[in-house]
Amino acid sequence: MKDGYKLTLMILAFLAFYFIPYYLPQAAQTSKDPLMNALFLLYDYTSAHTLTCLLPAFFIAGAISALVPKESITRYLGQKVPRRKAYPLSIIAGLLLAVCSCTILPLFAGIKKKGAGLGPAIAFLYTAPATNILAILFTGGVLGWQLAGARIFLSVIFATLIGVIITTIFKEDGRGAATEEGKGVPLTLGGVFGNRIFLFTATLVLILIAGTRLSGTEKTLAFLGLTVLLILQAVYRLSREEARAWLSESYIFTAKIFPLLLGGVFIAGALSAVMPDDLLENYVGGNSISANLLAVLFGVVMYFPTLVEVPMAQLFLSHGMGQGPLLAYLLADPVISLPSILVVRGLIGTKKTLTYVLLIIFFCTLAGLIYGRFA
Amino acid sequence: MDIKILGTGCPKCHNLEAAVKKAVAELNIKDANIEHVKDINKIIEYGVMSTPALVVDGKVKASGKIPSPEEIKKMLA
Repeated sequence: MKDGYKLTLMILAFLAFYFIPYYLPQAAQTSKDPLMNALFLLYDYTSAHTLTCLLPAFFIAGAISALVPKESITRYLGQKVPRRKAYPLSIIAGLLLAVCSCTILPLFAGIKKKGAGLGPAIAFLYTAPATNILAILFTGGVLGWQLAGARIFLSVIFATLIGVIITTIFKEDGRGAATEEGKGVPLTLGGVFGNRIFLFTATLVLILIAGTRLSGTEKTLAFLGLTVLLILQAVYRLSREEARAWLSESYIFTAKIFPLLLGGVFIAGALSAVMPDDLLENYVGGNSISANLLAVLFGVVMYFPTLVEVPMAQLFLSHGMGQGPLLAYLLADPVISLPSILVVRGLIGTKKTLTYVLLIIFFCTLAGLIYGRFA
Repeated sequence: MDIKILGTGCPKCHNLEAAVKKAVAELNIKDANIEHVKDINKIIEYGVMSTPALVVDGKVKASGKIPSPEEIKKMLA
């Protein structure tokens, strides 16, 4: 389908759902009827989350994907960097570069073979999907920033732990074949981003924060003001190439993800109407070990396209899932997908892959337990 | 001319392949051998860690993004 058509369709769908209250009032509130409830949820998501959270998030992901100088980071990762620098670097790479799933596997293999080795490679492998910028921002906007923050914070810690544990168990120094000490870009945000691009991305992030945390006139003013600032920067501080790349990458994300998200929201809405409100309470309610473990295993087995895990999480929350198990599920779901696990197995062998999966299950359950205690 | 497209098979890699084929046709390059490399181990051997990537006659010309049609033509020249 040509880009122009797809974009028009998405805009039309958005408008159709946004204005539901005007032509389909039965779908303007929750309903026991699956179809009406599905439409209601679509209306809810388009009116509450799309313009203020999702759209800025796509632009942020586009900016990071188009403007962050991948070469400097990947060059650094492909060299033999000392362990204490390699882990933070791999994790930062996971945070920044993880916006396209097909980038993760080559980078993982590269870090392992030519860079700092297995440990940091695993840390990257885990961080990348776990701290996917789009998912974090969307989780924050829809489910709350406490959850999103916990997701990033815990993912980063686990990534390092899992990497270290695997290297220890398999006694693999795993140093790459390269002999040069890593040089190049200094390990600061300014060094990696360049101030100009950092500012641009920061403006985008502020727009999202304004959209999701402010309300009323404050929100409109901030939103408009920041948008003007953004456009000025795009015109005067980005080259035409960069601006074009930014818009193109943002569009690619939107086209890939938005339709699937709408589908996910529709299904979540339909299910919500037919599922009894306490259906999940016996299985994943409260904060027991079994509840968290079950939630993790569900996340491992079920695969949802990017961002669909958010409306699904909302569905679970409103039907009896505890906060702890929710986090456990959110941590586990993006990290394990059958195709990537198979590729990883091809690169590091079944034993290590199995250990990796088991460690993830363990840590996600633990995370859920801890978060559930304090949430 | 030996052209290799490095990519694990995601949509971006297909886009690069299509764009390269188009450029080859427009530049009228005869006997251009276009190959799509999907094996990760082979991809790393080129020193590439960011797919999709374009390799022309053994040299990595672009990696991590899809160059514009003009850029691709320059790389093929």
